Amino acid sequence: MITPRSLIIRYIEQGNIPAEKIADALKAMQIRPDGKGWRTFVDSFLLWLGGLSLAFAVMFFIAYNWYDIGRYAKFGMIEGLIVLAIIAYCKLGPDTVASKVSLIVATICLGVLLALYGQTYQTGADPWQLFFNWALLMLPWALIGRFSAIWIVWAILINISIVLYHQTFRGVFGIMLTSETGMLWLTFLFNTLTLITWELLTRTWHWLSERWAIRLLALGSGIPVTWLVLFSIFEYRDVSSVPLLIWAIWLASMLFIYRRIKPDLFMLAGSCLSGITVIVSFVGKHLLKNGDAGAFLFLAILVICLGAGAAFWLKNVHQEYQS
Amino acid sequence: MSKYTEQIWTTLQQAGIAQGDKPGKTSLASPWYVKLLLAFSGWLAAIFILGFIVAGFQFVFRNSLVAGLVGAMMIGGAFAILRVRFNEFVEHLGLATSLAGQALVIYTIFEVTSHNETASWLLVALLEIPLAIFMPNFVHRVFSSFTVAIAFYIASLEMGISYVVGGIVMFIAALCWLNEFSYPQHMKKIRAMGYGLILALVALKCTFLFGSGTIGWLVSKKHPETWAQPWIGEIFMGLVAIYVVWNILQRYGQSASKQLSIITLLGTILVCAVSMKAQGITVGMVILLLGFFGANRILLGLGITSLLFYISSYYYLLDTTLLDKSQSLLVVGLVLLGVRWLVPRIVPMGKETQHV
Repeated sequence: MITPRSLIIRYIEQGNIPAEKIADALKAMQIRPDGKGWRTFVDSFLLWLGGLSLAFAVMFFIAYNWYDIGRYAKFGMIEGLIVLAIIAYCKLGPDTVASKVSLIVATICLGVLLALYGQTYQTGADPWQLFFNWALLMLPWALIGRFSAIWIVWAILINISIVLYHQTFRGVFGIMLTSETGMLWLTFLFNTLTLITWELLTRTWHWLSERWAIRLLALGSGIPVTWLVLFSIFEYRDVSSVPLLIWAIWLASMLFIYRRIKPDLFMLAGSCLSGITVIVSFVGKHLLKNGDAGAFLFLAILVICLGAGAAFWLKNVHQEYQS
Repeated sequence: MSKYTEQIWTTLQQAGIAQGDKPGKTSLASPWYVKLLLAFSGWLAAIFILGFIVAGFQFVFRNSLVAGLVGAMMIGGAFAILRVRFNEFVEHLGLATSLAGQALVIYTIFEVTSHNETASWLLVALLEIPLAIFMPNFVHRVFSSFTVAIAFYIASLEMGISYVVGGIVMFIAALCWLNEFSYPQHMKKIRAMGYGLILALVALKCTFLFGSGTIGWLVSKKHPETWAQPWIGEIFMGLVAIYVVWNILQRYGQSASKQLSIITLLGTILVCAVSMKAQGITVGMVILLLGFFGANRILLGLGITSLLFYISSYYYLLDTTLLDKSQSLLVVGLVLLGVRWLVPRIVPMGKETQHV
């Protein structure tokens, strides 16, 4: 993506902006923020960090499990904080930084409340249930909040509950995905479905179109599927071509969608990285059995060729997106 | 030239800032993730090159001086390759060759110093400094700057003064980013070093949080007790944060005696003081400040990520109880929100626009 900053840097390097005019250029293109910009920045910084520090302070306090304070006082404190945060959200209006911070603080405190409930009454629930219920109960706030960060928190909670669920039951209902790689399959499926849904919904709800959130979900989809292929390449007991097939479909879809339908260089670079990792691992496994010097040299050249090819293609695509 | 770039060019030309002919197809620098791809493949290829030398030329490792000589030749060759840089393949080849050569030279350093950790790591830092300055490749410069800081940190760990290194790295990184546009002919160099040092700073703070166990395999087990304590490191970092804020204020023509400067500096001192126990907040704050000052999204992203990471990993810090941590965070939260409430009352909205 072209930014005024990247353009100014290029113009300076090309000699289009003389040294004595650089300060003017930075000011004209608002690379150096003005007073209003600084005020907004400092305000957001203090709000986010202050709000998160308070929420984490409550979390640490409950985790300490201090016996000098009774359970009712603890419940009262957290519930009071949640109520305060929600009142602040209602009073501040939906689209301000302060209201978003309030909703995130309320969300964190909700999880702390669930943890305190489990700690106090020793419900015997599995850890995955805490995160799953947390994600479930925060859903109304995420729906009302209408900003990406709160939905990413929701997705992270579901991911954690998937991991913990799989650690407890080693599969889904004890019959599906019971292998060691089951957890990777589950996280891949969930994140891929979320990514697809998210991308489709950005057309209707523009507040979902923040790229950082979509890219984070793509990482959540790409990393597990790449690991699955690596497992199938290096696994000697249970060699299956299913991960390779799914990965190939995933890779082709990513390259097609983010090259043709919704241009995004980050996604293409991630796909290339995944491709290089899988190809080199596959070739490496078969060539390095005897540890021949020639095999190492071939692999080095292969990596350089693949990396150079990917970088060359990505730079061309980047140029194309600019024009 | 796209419509957007044309618009910017016209604005700059009309303001009398840009000169010369309208640039044709402007080729911008690759985004950070393409550079990351380059770094990854360079690193992977370097491992295979080393494997090739180990498997095919074992005599190189029998004599450490030969290993050093071969390594130095490889670095020299890489320098020559990267200087001419025909295409992407050659750039990758140069990067991989240099990384493999550095590994050989570092092997020699450890052998020659008989694994004296302090001397070895100081020599590694000395090896990487010229590479960070002279190697004509952005990714290489980032890597070398990162390695200089890490090597220097490990050497200081052996000397028992590791807590002050974070502040030194942060100060040099801040100098790089504050003066990014001051020396147009060295802009690329300064940017690459700035990124390398900021990445090292984030990594160093992680080792503070998780203890030196994270790099335990690189260092000896016993470190001497010296005057340098964690709180000295935090004070040092706080001083750097104050310097950064003061420097930015000066750039906007705010002298130290003006009301806005006094309030801003006092606010910074307060934030640094209350976050001394909750390590990492000052680092994150400085990275964010530098990122916002230069409209640099990568630094902003790094600052936000590191802050989120530090605040959540604070849970695992073992030298204080959760109750102490909770109190520290409570104070940080209340002070930050208090400052936020107070500032508009002392400097009303709109007044600062006139000042800056």
